[in-house]
Amino acid sequence: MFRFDPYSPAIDADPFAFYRRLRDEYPCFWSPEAQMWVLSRYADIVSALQDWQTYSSARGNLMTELPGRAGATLGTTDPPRHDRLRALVQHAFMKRNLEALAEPIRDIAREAAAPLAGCGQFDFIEDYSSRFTVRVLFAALGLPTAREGGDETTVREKAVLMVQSDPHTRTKGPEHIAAYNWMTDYASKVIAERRANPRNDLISHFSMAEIDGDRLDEREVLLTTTTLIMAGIESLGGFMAMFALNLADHPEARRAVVADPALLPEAIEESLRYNTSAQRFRRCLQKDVELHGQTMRAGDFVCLAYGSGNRDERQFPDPDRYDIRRKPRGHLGFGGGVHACLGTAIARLAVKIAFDEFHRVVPDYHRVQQQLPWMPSSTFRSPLQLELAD
Amino acid sequence: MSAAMVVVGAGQAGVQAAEALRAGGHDGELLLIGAEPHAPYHRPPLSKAWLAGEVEAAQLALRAPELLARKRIALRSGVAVTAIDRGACRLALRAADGTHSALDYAGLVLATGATPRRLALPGADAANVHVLRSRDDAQALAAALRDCAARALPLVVVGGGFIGLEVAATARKLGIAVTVLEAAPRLLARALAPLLSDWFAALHRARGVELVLGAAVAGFALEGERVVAVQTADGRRHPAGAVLVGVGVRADDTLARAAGLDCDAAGGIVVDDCARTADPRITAAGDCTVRRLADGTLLRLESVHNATEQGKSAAAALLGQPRPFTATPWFWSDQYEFKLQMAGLSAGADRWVRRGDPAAGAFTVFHYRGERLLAADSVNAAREHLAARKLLDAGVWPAPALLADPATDLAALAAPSGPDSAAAGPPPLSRP
Amino acid sequence: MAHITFVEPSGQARSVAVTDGWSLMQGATAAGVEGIVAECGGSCACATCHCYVDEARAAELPPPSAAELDMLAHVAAERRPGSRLACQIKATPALDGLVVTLPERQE
Repeated sequence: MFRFDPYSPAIDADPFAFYRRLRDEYPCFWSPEAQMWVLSRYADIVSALQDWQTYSSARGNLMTELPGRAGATLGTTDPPRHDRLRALVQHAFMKRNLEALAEPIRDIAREAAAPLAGCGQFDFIEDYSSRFTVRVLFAALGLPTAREGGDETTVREKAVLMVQSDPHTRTKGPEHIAAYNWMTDYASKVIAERRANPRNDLISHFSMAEIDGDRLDEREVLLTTTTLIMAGIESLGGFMAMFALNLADHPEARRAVVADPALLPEAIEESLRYNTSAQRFRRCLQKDVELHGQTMRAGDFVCLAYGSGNRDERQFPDPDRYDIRRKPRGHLGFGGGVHACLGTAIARLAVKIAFDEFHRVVPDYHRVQQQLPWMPSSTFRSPLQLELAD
Repeated sequence: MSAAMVVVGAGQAGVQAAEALRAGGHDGELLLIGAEPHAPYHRPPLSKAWLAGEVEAAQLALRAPELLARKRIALRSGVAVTAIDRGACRLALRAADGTHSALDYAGLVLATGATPRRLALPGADAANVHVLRSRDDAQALAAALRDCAARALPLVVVGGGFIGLEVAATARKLGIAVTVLEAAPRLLARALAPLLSDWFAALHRARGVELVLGAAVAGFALEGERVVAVQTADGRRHPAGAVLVGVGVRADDTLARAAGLDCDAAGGIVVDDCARTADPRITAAGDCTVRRLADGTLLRLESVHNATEQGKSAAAALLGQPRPFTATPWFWSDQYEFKLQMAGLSAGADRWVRRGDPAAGAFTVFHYRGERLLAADSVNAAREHLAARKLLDAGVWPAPALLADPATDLAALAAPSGPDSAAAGPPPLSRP
Repeated sequence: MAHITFVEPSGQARSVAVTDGWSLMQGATAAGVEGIVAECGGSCACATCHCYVDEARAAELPPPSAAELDMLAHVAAERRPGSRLACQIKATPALDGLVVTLPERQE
């Protein structure tokens, strides 16, 4: 009998064969393990993303939600309140002129890539992307750097733990909750610091921003901050690892982008389609919906499998081919609809710079491990380790 | 009978009228009623800085409610006026929660603005087809742009007017692919000289906009409830993640029409040079109006300048101090790093004179009809724009060669220096 | 964030905490300061947000752009050395304590 268990290590390792069967045979599938419906076709996912009234985010958007989060972050609030909050956060986010961030990001990338010269073999994650993402995040959010007494390593460790779950219990285990609590605590200290001494950075801005007397309350500031940390470290890092994996496994594509870095943006977009780290998010139905002969009931949770939509040949011909010249219009690597990823522009910029600098130091590489250790997460997909050698 | 002055509409014209009523000597009750739930805000940034995420909503404030309160202007937001009973001098109101009430007026200013036109095609009411007029529109459009950015989908703009082009420029700034479909053979055909239409077309194309002129929208291709492409009459299909329809606005004159006030069939409450209607207790100002000129023709002006000047006149008329407003109309539009400033009315021009170098990105084009200077369009040339306004206000028509010559001091031309200076022509706002 | 003192045409002084990156015009308008019209909403197109910056500190501000200079020629009230358009000055912590006087008329 066909099963789709988003907590199983098999799905962590390779969900795509499962996605294909879902799309072709069970386009609206009830997963008892996940206790939710699974939508796998591109068109259905996009419809759901746009129909926020029916497919609500207010009961949580992560496949396995963290306690207290639903309703207190951007991704877990519906319009109209969502739009007002987003305007507060987004404004602060975009105020940081991207041009102004490019220089610091390049410095961070250079500094992180330099030690890899002549290394022979290294772990892309431990030895490059984790350092890069943490420092970029700290720069963007204005978090206390190591020089200011901040602890970059621990912040990263907790961010990565927070998004994982226990494959056996299919919930957040004590270590995941503990990491989340640590992060919440950490964020609240930073927020208090910025409230007392506001600076021209993201956290200062949205802890003080206001629209028509409407402000983020304490809980919202805190949880939005932790989400941003999680996204900045885990999502960005996860995506970088997947991109590195694609380039490691597709030598022609890698040689092309190394020879002509102007191809990087397209290669990145194709990677966002081909195997983005943000695989599955959930919504909660506000009314009964009939789809593909199934009746989903109001109150049911629905998994939107972006990773599957991105491989749907009904939208992307020859979907299982990683083709950096494809120009994958409409891909779901950054989600879509009203909750479309806030960090889209920064992510594109940061990844481009990160690989530009990485390729200057390590132009040629391949994967060492046959099997990769995959992060156990029902929402995200990325390896915990990616050994590369030249 | 209550001595209340009531202004219906809390936008640019309404706020101006209310302030002018108080400043002009009205001491009694003064209400400013707005249908939108937001405190009065500036619209121009909605298509630019706000849409680009560079400012937050609070920075759009037009007048703080506390300042209005200090002036004893009672602001009622989220309240709709549903009917005017001219016989009883009474308004019917409906609050946001649905409760109805009545309000007597001694004098009434209608500043109800305008509503964007939509296309009468199947799919035109799809969720991802947008217009841009209000802050709520802008918020929905901003979400649509984010979706386009994230999913690398294009924005299709129907209409190469000011709103469409400003949004196109903003979307390009955000890295979104943009297609602009304009029905006429050139951009902003009614507003700009041909040289400027071409210049802006080249500018947008240089910045990556796919600009299609002479493009008639034939239909929308839908997938489910969403538009995925805009089809033009030539059979082409323009893929779209979202669509912005910028094909003009229709004046909100339904209240006036229902109350029996003279309104233009094409939309607009008819007023004279002093913002008066045929009813001595009712004046109108801003985008909801159309002005009857001395020669009987109707003139529609949609600009911040018109709203503020007419707002002042609308107030003055109710205070028994008619204030004809005949200053030269002016307008501006910001696209990319270029500021276009327009002075005067260019309809009927048969000759254009250029000053400065378009390639340098700072220049002015003057419109003439025969000997008469009608208007000037300036790009990144504020000084020339201001001088042109002075010339037009003074009715001074320099010879074209003088204007074209960069050595000529335009400001000096406008200031008459003695009995032999150029004869003043008829005042602005009269048709040639 | 900068605490700016705006002196209204009536002589009344108002201290406003203007968020970094906001223009002085936006800060004053949102705080209900009287004496700013800002017809064009901050686009450097109308010259009705004219203000006098305390001349002792005027040099601390970034100088006006060519566009602002052109518009300053058009202000309704007397133009002085400290004349600036409030929509063109962005708040930074360095401006803390600045005194800005509003002219008796903007039109």
